[in-house]
Formats: sequence, C-alpha cells, structure tokens
Amino acid sequence: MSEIFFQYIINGLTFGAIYALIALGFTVIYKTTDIINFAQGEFVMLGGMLMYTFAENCSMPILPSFALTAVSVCFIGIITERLFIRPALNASLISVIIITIGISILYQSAAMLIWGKEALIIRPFSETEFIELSEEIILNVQNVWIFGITIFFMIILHLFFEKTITGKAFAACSSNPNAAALVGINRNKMVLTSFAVSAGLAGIAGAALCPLTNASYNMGTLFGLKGFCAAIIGGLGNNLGSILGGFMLGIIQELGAGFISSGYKDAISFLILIIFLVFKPSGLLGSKWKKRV
Amino acid sequence: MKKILLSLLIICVILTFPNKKLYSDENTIKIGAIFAYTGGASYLGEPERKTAQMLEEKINKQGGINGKKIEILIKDTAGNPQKALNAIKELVQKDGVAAIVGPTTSGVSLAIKNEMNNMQTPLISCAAAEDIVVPIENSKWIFKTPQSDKMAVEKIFKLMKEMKISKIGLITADQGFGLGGAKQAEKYAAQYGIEIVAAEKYSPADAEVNTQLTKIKSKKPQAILCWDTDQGAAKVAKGIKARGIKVPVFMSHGIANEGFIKAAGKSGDGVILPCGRLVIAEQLPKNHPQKAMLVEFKKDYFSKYKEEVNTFAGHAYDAIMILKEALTIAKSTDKSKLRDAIEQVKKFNGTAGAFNFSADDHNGLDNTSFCFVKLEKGKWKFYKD
Amino acid sequence: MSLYREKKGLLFFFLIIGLIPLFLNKFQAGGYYIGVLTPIGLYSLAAVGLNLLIGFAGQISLGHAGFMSIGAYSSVYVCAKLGYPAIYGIALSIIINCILAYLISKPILKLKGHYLAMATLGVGVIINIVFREFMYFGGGEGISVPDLKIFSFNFNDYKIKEIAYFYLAWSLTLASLVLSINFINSKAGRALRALHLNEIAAAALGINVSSYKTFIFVYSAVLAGISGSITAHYNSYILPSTFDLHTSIKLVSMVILGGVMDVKGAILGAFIITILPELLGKFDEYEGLVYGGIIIAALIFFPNGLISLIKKINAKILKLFKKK
Repeated sequence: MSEIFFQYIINGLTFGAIYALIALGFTVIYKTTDIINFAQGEFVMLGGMLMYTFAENCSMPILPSFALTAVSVCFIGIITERLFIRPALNASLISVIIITIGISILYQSAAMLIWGKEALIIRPFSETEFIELSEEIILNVQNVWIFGITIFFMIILHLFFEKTITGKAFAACSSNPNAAALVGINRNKMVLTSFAVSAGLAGIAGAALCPLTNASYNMGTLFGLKGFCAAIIGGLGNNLGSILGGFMLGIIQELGAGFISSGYKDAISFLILIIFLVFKPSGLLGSKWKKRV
Repeated sequence: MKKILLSLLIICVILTFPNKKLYSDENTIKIGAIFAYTGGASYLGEPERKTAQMLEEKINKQGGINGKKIEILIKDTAGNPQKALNAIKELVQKDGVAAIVGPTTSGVSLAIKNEMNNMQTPLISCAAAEDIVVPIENSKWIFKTPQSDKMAVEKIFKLMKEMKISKIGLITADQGFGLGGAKQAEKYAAQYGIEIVAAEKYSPADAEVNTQLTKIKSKKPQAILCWDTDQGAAKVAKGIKARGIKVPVFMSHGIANEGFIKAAGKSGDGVILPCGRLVIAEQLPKNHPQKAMLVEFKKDYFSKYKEEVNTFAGHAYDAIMILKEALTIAKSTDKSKLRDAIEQVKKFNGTAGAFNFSADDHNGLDNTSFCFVKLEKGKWKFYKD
Repeated sequence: MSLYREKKGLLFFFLIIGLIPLFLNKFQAGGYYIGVLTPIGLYSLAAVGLNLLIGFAGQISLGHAGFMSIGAYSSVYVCAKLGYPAIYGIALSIIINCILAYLISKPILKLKGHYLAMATLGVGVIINIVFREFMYFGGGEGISVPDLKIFSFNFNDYKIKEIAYFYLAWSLTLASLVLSINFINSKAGRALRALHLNEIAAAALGINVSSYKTFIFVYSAVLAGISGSITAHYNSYILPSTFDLHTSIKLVSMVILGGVMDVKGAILGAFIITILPELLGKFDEYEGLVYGGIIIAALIFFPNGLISLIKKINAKILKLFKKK
C-alpha cells in the first residue's frame, strides 16, 4: 500500500513542479499587467513541440535543443505581447480574457497545422529510462530531470528578482506603476519582459515534460488552467505562493486520482480551486486586496 | 410607409418563387463517406480515406457499378460527433447520396445512428462496437464491417482459458471502442472462468497511465487485457514495460497496424491480439480463400501510397466493396432497396473475413474471421487460428 | 433608439426569419440549409441569456455549457429513463437549472473578474466531467434521446423535422429576446445597469445587488438549459463533449463578438461563429486559425462588438433612403 502511495507522491511532485513553473508564469505577467494570460498553457505546448522539432526532427543533442527551445518560446512570448497584448492593454477585462483565449485557440490551430494531430514522441533526456527503487516502485528518470530543471529555474528566477536591476524594477512596477514610471522604469519594457520570462518558463516546463508524456497540439489548455489553479491556491501575485500552490495541486491531484478515481482527476483540481476561491480567494500566501471605492 | 411596401414586396417575391428542384445527376451513383482523417483518430481515418479514393478510381476504371460511374463524397469528422452529424445531413439532404460509408470510430457511429435511421439512409460503419448494430430493432439502416468487440473478447477469453489464465487486469479507454471492449469483457469473463481482479480506465487525453497500471499490478493478475486503438494502447504498452509488469499482454484488433508498432516501439513486443488476416496475408497458406484478395489490396495500396496498409483501411475496403455488391444486387440507388440488398450479401470475402449478412445480423462475421497474431521484433507474426 | 422602434425593427427581422424556411423549402437541398440555421437559433437562445449576464449584470461565466448539459441530460432522464413526454423533460431542466444556478450564485457571484471567470469555468468543467464519468447516462459515449413529441406532434418526424425545429428554436429565441428587452427597460433593468456601472454606489443607493445578480444568473442558466434540452432532441443523441469547455467559450465569444452592450448582438455573434465552418468549406482545417483571429481582431478593433458595425451600416443605408 505504501509503495503505491510513494508512487503517487513521485508523480505528484513531478506534475506539481510543472504546475509551479506555469503558475510562476501567470504570476509574473499578472504582477506587471493585471492580465491573466489564458494562453499560458499554449507556451507549454510549444515548448514540447519545439523540443520535438529540434531534438527529433533535426536530431540535435538534448542540451542545445533544450536551450534553443527555451529561447524560441521566449521569442514567441515577445511576439505575442507585441502583436496581441499591447493593443489590448486598455480594453475591458472580459475583452482581455477573450483575447487571450483567442490567442490560445490561434496557437493551438497553428500547432495542429504545423506539427499535425498525432502525439509526438521525444526521447528521454538520459539513456537509462528507469530506476527500480524496489519491486513496487519504479522511478522514471525523466521525473528527476523535470524536478531538477524546474527547481533550477525557480532559483534563477528568484535571483533575477532579488539581485538584478530589471528584476527589482518588476517588483516596483507592480506595487506602484506611477511611482515606477516616475523613476524612469519603462512600463512597456516591463510588460514585454514579463511575457518573455513567463513564456520561457512555460516552454521549459513543456520541453522537460514531453519526453514523459508525449507532445500534442491540444495539451496546452489543461496545463494552463491547472497552472492558474495553482497560482490562485498559492496566492496570485506571490512567487513563493505559486510554487507552493503548484506542488500542492500536483500532489493532491495524483493522490485523488489514485485513491478516488482517475477519471475525476481534473474535477478534483477544479474543486480545490473553487473551494479556495469561495473561502480564501487570496490563496495560501496572498494578502487580502482592498478595493477602493 | 416605404418600409412596409418594401417588406410586402419581399414577401410576394418569396411566396411566388417557383419551386425549384435541383437536378440530381442520374448518371452517377453518389456515395457518401465520413472518416476521421483529422483529429485524434486520424491515424485510423486517413488510411480509410485513402482507400476510398483508391477504390473510387479502381471501380470507375473497371466500368463503375450497374454501368454508371460512382462518386464518393468524402467528409471529415475529426472524430467529433457534432461534425459527423452535420456531415451526414449535408451528404443526405444536400448531396443526395444513396448510402454512407463510415464513420471511423465507435463513439461517432453511435452518435449518428438515430439520425441515419431517421433519414432512412443506409450506413455501413467502419467501427467495431457491438452496440452499433445491436439491438437490431433500432439498427434497421445500420451495418458495420469490423469484427465486433464481443467476438474479439470472447476469442481472447477462450485462448486465455486454454492457457489456464483465470485472473486478469483490464485497462481500457473510457469511451468509444475502449469502453465497448470493457463492457463486453465484464459481461463475458465469468463464462470462461475468468476473474477481472482490476478494471481501470483512462482518458485519451491522459498523458500516461502509470496510476492505473500501478493499481493493476498491485492486484497481481496473470495477464493484462487492454482495449484501445494505436495511440492509447501504445501508452499502455510503454507503461507496462516501465512498471516491469511481466505477464502476457492481450490487446484488441484495433491495434493491428503500423501506427501501434511505431508508437509503442520495443514495448509492443510480445503483445497478442485477434485480428483479421490482412496484416499477415503473406503468411497465409497458398489456397486460403482470402489470400488472393488480401495480397492484391496490400499491393495496390502500397504502390499508390507508398505505405503499408492497415486493418482500418481494410474496414473501409470491406464497406465500399459490400456496398458495391449490394448496389449490383439491388440494381438501383433506391435507399430502401439498397438496404434490403445489403442484407442479402452472403459469402462475401472481405479483409475482415467472410461476410454473411441477414435481416438479424448486420455485421455478418463470426469468430472464424479472426486469427491470433503476435508482435515480434516490430513485425506481425501469425500465432494461432 | 426608442423602445417602440427597437421592437418594430425586431418584428421585421423575425418576420424575415419566419419566411426563410418557406423560401428554402423550394430547393431540394433546402432542408439542409434550414438545418444550418436551426443550431444558430439554439445557440442564440443561450447567448441572449448570457448577454444579459455579461453586458448588463457585469458578470462573466465561462461555464455556461454546464447548464446546457444539465438541461439536455434532464430531458434525457425524463424521456429516455422515465418515459414521460418531452415537455416534462424541459420542465425538469428549468427546475434543476433554477435550483443549481441559485445555489452556485450565492458563493460565486461574490467574486470578481478573473476569479469569477475561473470559478465559473471550474463549475462548467466539473459538470462536464461528472457526466463523462457517470455511466448511468452512458458516460463519455453518450446516450440516445427520444423524439420530441408535444401533444402527439412529433418534431422528429423525418418529413417535417427541419422546419419544425427551426420554428421552435427561433420562436423561443424571439420570446427570450422580447423578455430580455422588456427587462432591460424596466425598473429592475435600470437598477441592473446601475449595478454594472458601479456596484458599490448601487449598493449605497439601496439596490439589492446580490439579488439582481442572482436573478440574472438564474435566468441565463434557465435559457441555456432549454437550449440544451432542445438540442438533445434535435440531434437524437447527446454526449458530454457536446457541451464542454469549448462550447462555453464559444458562447461567450458569441456574446462578446456580437456586442455585449446590445442583446441582439448575441444573435449576430451566434450567426458568425456558427456559420464559420460552413463558409470555410474545404479549408476547415484552418477553422481554429480563423476563429481565433476573428475574435482577437474583432475585440481589438471593435471593442463594442460587431453589432456596432451593423448599426453604423444600417444608419448609412437609412440615410441613403431618406435622401431619396
């Protein structure tokens, strides 16, 4: 019994790490623009698809493929911001939601046309695929990669925010845009950077995940939604919250799927979301926002 | 004032517009075909579409049917029931086809069944679920060409009984073909002395099935039965290898094609399944009644499309050729007569086996249409009759 | 526009709609084209309710397909499982949606913006998953739906099905449109608009904010449910995938695209989005691209929806008439 439990925890941590990265992406964009990017999941998908293109189609080794994928998705994030988000920054909330949904549909379609509808198989990052920890528990080495890569980039992001000027400018921008502008911080550049960073994070998540689960053009939607759930659970706008929320969501989801029913996996995630929204909308670590009259 | 006059004018025009009946071309036989050649099931539907186009050319070259050329109008369902409903309405009401071939998947077939009956147009489905043509009372206009899941399940259970397997783990997709298989397995297991110790389902959208396989492994079955087509089954095969599960793995006739071999890779080796004789046609004895037709179909398909044929292309082949036979018997495109004629098709050699339709049996196959095949080193090998 | 002129224009519009089947029936393929317009009517029915919710009550719902599916499955339960006439199925759909929408609205309508969007999305997805897993209704595979018979008049009778459903769908849409317009121009409607503009000020003025929001939410849910029920009978079969997240998003897109400020916009939006795959014909692989592109472009360039474009064109045409 405990072996199965352990297996679920491993799966939970793996997916949790992915959700955490995606949630971080949401948070980063939200802090600078107040926008929720419903197309975030598509960047995960693009990460997986591009990884396939570089690693399998062009037969490049893993490391350069990964780096190239990350950079490419960042770039796509920048294009997205320029083309679609910039003109819409002042639109009404519901319009912005629909626009980002429109972007998501657009990217999915484009991916379907470019890469086809079949699931794409990417080779795992290391030669040994599995490690048998005991008779019952098998560790898929890719899980370790995913966990390691996501932790690595979380640390990098943290350093970015704490140590670099741009990172600190981010924080300034979100707490008080006017003051930030006064001291010379270019809001437009911040928005652009936030999209690049968040897209990059999502792309990295996708590239690391897809050898485990295969990439397909419509995998993005659910990942985006769950990443958003994680962000809210942890507290929207709080980096640590996003990470915490991600892991929590991943583990609860896997345990629920394992012990209750796998079909209801997604329902469990959304139920947790709704519970948080109704009882504690500021999430685990967020602060209560005050609404000014 | 002006507005009212304008409206009255429009109304008069509309009411006095002459009844125009679009002329249907009497010299061409129109057949509809709906396949899922985009979307999740495209690896099934695309070969079906190619087969339809290939046969259209071939039949017309040989003089058509009843002296008339045929036109096969192909529409995409993308595996989506709503799209399929729209497609059949377009084919029957707008294009005026005599019958429809397809669709690719069981789920879509069941979804359009009522509408096809309603429109009183024959449908020859290329999907396998038993429920498509059973009960016969609500399947008057519906036929199908693949062997049914019930037959396949029973054949597997019989083999398992011979192999002294009495405890199995069941893992299937949670919809369409997979669900149909699960239903049949649960229904007939006891009859063969088999106990299903664990029954798991997964959604096609699921990235992997580790959770389900972990549960199954913990119940220590003597064999695993998986019911799904290529992609899903490949996920399961990979997962089984990863979990280190060593018991024999049985799968359905839905994986008998290159797609599964490619997707599963090495983890597919050792899988046993019942299927029609198409994929091992060359390994058949020389005087086998189906051999000549199968080998010819394989050759034609390969020379035109430069890829190996698969069982799904075979189902489309059967559907169209049976329709051709029925049209020849009926000597007309009247839909009622055509429907009756299909029921009169007997001793017909298709890729799935020898078909014998009747008023009660709209599938026309029995379990001699199957043989057992084992996947060895990425190639299909004949295992047992 | 004065209420009188608006209603006159509407009457004219629906007169044209009423004549369309008579016109199309003269063609052999007429039944098919009528059958293309009927789903537009059914979507419009749901979209009108949603429009009121988004445009006038200022809420968002990304889960309205959930109510449609509850409507559909209610009808299935009553007709297929219990064997009662279809009208009771529709009645049940209304009752359940009333109750469910009421219960959901209480905790959820307190939320705002993205949080509300995600909460409603979550509700819609959970409903979808429950029907997918719940085998009693056939699960993911779906279930057959009996014919729609009202007083022994069978809507599904092959010879008259397309026309019968067309008139049913569009009369319901007309009724909901008239109801909605009356409501918007009533005292309650004005209170609602005040609420939308500034919830806190409205509350300060004594308007019972929560009641109004709940009322509109329930109203839109009921309309969606009726749409779902009729769709179920129309297709003779339903599956959970007919009413999934895609459908919810489609509904919202219809409302926003058409123009959230004007209830008639919902019909325009329904028309454009439903007719899209038809127009693409052979190129339907590109549907997603076009759909996404249209939504983005329309919202960036026409934030008030395409109905504002139509109104401008209409005004110009009228000016031309007047000049003569």
